[in-house]
Amino acid sequence: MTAQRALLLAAVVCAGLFYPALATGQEAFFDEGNQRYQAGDFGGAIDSYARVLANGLESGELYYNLGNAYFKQGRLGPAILYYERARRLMPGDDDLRANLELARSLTADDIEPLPEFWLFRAVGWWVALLPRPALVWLVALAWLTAMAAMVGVILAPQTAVAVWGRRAALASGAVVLVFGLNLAVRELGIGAAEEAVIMVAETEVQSAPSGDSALRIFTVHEGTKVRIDRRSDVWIEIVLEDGKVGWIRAEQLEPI
Amino acid sequence: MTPMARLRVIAVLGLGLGLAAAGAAHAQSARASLSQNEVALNQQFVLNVDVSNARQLDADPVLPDVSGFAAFLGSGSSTSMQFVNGRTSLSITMQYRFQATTEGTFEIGPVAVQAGGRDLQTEPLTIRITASAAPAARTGARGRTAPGGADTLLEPDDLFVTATASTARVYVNEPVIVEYRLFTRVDVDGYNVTRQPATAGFWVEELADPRAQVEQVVRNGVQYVSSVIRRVALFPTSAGAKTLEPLALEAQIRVRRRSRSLFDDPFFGGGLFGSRVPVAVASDPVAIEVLPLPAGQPDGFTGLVGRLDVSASIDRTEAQTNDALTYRVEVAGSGNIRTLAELDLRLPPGFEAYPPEVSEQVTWRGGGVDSRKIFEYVIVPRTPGEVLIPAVEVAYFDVDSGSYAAAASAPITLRVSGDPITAPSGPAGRRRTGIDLEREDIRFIRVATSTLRPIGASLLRGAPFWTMLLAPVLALAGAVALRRHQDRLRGDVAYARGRRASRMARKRLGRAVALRAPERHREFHAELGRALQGFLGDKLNIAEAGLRQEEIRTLLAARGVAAAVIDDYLECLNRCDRQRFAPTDPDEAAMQDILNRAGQAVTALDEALP
Repeated sequence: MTAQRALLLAAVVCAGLFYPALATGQEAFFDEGNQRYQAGDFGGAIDSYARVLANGLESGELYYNLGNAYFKQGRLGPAILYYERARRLMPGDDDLRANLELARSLTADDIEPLPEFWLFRAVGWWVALLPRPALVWLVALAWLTAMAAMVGVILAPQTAVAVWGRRAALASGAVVLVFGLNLAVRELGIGAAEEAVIMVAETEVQSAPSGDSALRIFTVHEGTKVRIDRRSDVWIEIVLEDGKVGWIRAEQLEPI
Repeated sequence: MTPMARLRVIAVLGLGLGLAAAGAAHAQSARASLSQNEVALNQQFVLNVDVSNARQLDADPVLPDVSGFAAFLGSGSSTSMQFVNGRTSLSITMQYRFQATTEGTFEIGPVAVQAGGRDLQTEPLTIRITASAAPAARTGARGRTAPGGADTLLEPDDLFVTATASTARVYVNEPVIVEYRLFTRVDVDGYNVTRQPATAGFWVEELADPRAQVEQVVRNGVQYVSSVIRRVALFPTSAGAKTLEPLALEAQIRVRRRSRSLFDDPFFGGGLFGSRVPVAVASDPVAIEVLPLPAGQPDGFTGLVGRLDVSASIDRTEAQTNDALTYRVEVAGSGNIRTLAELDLRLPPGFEAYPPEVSEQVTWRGGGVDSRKIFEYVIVPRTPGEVLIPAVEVAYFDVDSGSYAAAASAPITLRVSGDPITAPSGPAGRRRTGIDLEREDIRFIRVATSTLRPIGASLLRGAPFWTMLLAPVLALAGAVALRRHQDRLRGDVAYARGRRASRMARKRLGRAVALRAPERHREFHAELGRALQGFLGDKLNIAEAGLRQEEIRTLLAARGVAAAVIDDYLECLNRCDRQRFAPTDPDEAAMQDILNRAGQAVTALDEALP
């Protein structure tokens, strides 16, 4: 009796704690950016959105709108950068995917990606399956249900509560296991490559971290997404989607 | 009669003649020979392969490669019998007919033959192919040329093929009619073309097959039967001097001749009606000079050369709006009409035209090419009024004048009545079309944002996450402890009593407080005593009644309780016992005092006992 009541109270408290202190006031900048965007003032919209970022807050929609504003200004590099950042927060978003595809199709580099091992592709699909808030709530709910059910089983043995509690604990435990793993992979960034977007109109890629023009091996253009492999102080080794490798200066790209 | 049938007849004949001794025949041998050692170009020659003392061949003979200088025409075989010293021997002759195609002297390699289980080879032969069409020198062995001995009976004038070009000088794309004609003074059963001339550099238009027309012609004072073998219109595709290669054919002619031997022909060849003999003939090459078209081609010129006419007609000259009219444009001329892809109609606004139905034909008429192309458009007027459909113009090169010209149809006046129709009326008139993106654009921004979170915030770094993670674990731990506690309460009396002791003692103390009146002091002290004794019994799980003080002291000391605490407790217990039976009533202050001391003693004992 008292134990269950205490548990319920704890759950409620936890749920309350889960809502971070709402960033009140910052939404105003977001709305202001939207109004400027609709008025065609894309530069102003970028300023408004950037203020939210400068205040240390982010959201998938914010990055998405920022990407749109840069796209409208014809700046493919930042547009793709912010779309990619948005994708980390809302991987399955349909609008985002469409816009990113369009922006990519306008870039100068047409890179044929290497075929991906099917298992990695399947895992990637699985990891990006649910939007983050849904995933968090699902896991939290399943976790609470599983624990509450176990408490019920412990406190009321050999009753109907125990029978149903055991089933509920098993089912929600499975959910916790499967989606909790998903959440952990996403939160810890396990297996996620460090990626970056080329921000300059055109840059030459060297075979070694050196400015010697004789070492130039190929040229990449603005908006191309690359994987960051190694770094020296001012040079970064990049890997293209088709597997080409070379070094460029760190200021010519922006990590996602 | 086919060669196989002949063989079979011979076999039957041989059996009938009693060829039982054939097995003891002489060894097989093979010999090759030519009908003539020298042959004119494009004439035919015969390669004979004799296999003696063999009834049949085990496999088809393997011929040497002669493709470098001769073309294979056909083959046949015959069998002959000989009686020598009472023995009969059979021999097989295979005949291969070739047409000489290249000048020079060539060697015909050995022919490999399998007969009677043996591999045989003939000696190689030499043949000379000469350019002149003069009668070739004949070998003495006339009998060996049978049945190809027709040459001996034919003069060159008896059978020949001519190639005639309508003109020797043409412009690019101007047609040349080339006619191949067979002339003969002998009976021709039939023919087949053995070599079609290559036509590189020409667009070829076969004109209708004129094979059936056979006519009597007098040529050089001699009467011939003549027939057109082939008639083509050639459209040169580039300028320069060009030569048409000869056309070669093999004609089957019927020859009457005397029988020369017993076994010659009465059975096989139809000697009663003359034998059929193949003869190869070829035309002479034709030289054509192709002139380039002069510079200054007009717009819309598609390479039409020759004269050209354009005519246009419409099925009705009065129509309602939205009526479907058939507009027919016919382009006729001597040029290569197939190069004309489409017409520029230049229809006035207010018309809708659908893609035309096109038909074309190229025929030979009156010594030249007559080609026609008909475009049939369905046009639909949408606005009323009198409309002039302008002339259709087609540019071409006029050979006669040597300059570019344009042929035009007559304009047509069309009267359209009815209401103007801006769009196809009615649901039936509307055609469904797919939707094409006119412009690609990004999708619109998001109007609302989800919760703004600190940049780079991880779920794992927030207190809520850990609370959420650990609170249920704590709850679970509490539940486990609670459960164990309940289990001990249920199953362990000592534990239960121990856990209950202070509660029970407090209850009794409370009851004693209620009795704290001087007139009820006996009950008060009795309750107090029960509280003290019951507490100890519960705590130690012993029967508290009848315990002596020494026993209590020993029990408590054994559990490590300090002597002062034990003394306090026993003192309280003694005072309670004494007051229960004391004659004097205690005052209220004394009762309060003992109540406090009992409470202190229970508390101290509770703390001392685990």
